[in-house]
Amino acid sequence: MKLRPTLRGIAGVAGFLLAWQLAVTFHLPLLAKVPTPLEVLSAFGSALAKPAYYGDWLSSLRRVFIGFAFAQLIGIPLGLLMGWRQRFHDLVFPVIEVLRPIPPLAWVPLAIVFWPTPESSIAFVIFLGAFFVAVINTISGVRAIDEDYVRAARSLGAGPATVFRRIILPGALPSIFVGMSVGMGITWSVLVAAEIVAGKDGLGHFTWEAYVAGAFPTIIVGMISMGVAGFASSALTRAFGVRAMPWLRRA
Amino acid sequence: MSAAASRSGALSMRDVRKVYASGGDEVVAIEALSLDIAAGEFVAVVGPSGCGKTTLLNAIAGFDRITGGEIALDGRPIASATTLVPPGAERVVVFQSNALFPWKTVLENVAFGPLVQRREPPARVRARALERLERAGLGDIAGDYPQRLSSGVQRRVEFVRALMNDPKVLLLDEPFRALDAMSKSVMHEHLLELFESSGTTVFFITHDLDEAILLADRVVISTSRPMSVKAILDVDLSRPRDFRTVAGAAFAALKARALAAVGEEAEKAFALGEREMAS
Repeated sequence: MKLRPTLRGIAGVAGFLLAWQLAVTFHLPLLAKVPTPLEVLSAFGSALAKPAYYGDWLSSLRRVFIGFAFAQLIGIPLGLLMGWRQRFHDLVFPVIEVLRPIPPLAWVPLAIVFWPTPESSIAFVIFLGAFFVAVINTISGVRAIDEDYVRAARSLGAGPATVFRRIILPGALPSIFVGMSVGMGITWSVLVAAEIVAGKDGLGHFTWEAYVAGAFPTIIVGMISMGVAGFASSALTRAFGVRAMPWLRRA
Repeated sequence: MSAAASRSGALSMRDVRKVYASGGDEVVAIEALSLDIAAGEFVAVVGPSGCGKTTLLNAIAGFDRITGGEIALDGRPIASATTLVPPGAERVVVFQSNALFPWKTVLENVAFGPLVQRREPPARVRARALERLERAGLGDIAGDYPQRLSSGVQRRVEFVRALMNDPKVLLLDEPFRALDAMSKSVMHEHLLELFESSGTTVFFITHDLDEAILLADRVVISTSRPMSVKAILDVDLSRPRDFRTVAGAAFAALKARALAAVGEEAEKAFALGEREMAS
């Protein structure tokens, strides 16, 4: 398959690790307290031996999945309706536009107060992180649909419900998937902060605990874990998009 | 064939008027336009760009309201100041640029009309769609997505998609505008073939006089804005026609007559600061 790009990717990672090792070995300024890749590797080994580490992974994945799924389930239909019906847009858009610039993390105190469990407040904050992106991208996806597609469909006998399902939805799909990719990235950055404040487990909590305990290599294990998780879930979203939109594939 | 047997698709336009309100000003796009099109007739409307041809087509299609007058299909009013029968498959439109749904394969596009109308079982629709594609020589691309096809092939698929519905009227809004001269002349032959075997009424908008004379039974030359009928030219060239038709003496005579009428409007349009007239 694509062997060369993969090899280059591996070379890039190896080069980065080597530069990191050398920087620490030669005591580059600011990097004095940073553990070496080998120390991190051994901390990673001991993390892998503890069941709690896998539990942290599962908790974080579950929260991201729940918050993200609800954001799409509510955000996409809302965005489709807003893009399709100007009157509905006029009604809802001002509220969305005022709430959207509020950083999800600013919701944490309120979320803790009004959601019954810490778990639900974390999921809610993650939901917010992906929700507005889903709405905005869906709206612009609908707006970008060529009016001729809608007219052609109507002229071929399609009623409003059919136009919505067969034209508006698939027409907006590419932009919806852009929103999902971006939203997925946001959920991970929100997750960590939310877990540090309100979580009893999870990768964010894992990292924070390592900091409190002064276990520097373990901090980096936590960070890399989140990087891998974020990368994997973005790749999954993209793969899902490619499957859902076969017409965009190159022959 | 089927459409010929029923012989429906007569369009009648009576004193059609369309006024746009734009920023406090009123723009009269169509004024006192009357035109009768017989069932199964191919009528081409030629006029300067921006003269209101598309406005008229949109009104017949059911996309837009008219301000006054009446448009009737087989005696039934479909548009007036108070009526607007929504678009439907008895009046299928083919637009200037490709409007095949990119997320559907060629076969799915062709089957779209009958499928959403739910008048026949899906399996039969698919079989019929494939048969029509094969008859048009497009069977081997049935599974392709439209964006991989050349614009000429896209057009052909779109005609098949439109005619799948056995429309009473086929509304064509400068469908060959974006094509190069070569594909254009190939497409003319395809359209002639499809028209001559379908018996459907065709309402064809263009700014290309040669194209209009080659294809149509009658050529309507419209005035520049506000649009109305300037002259009607009976094209008494025998069918089937093909590219050789354009080279004949009869064609040249018709063109000379048309040019005289078009020329006057072109000058007026030019004086109005309108865009250039067609070749």
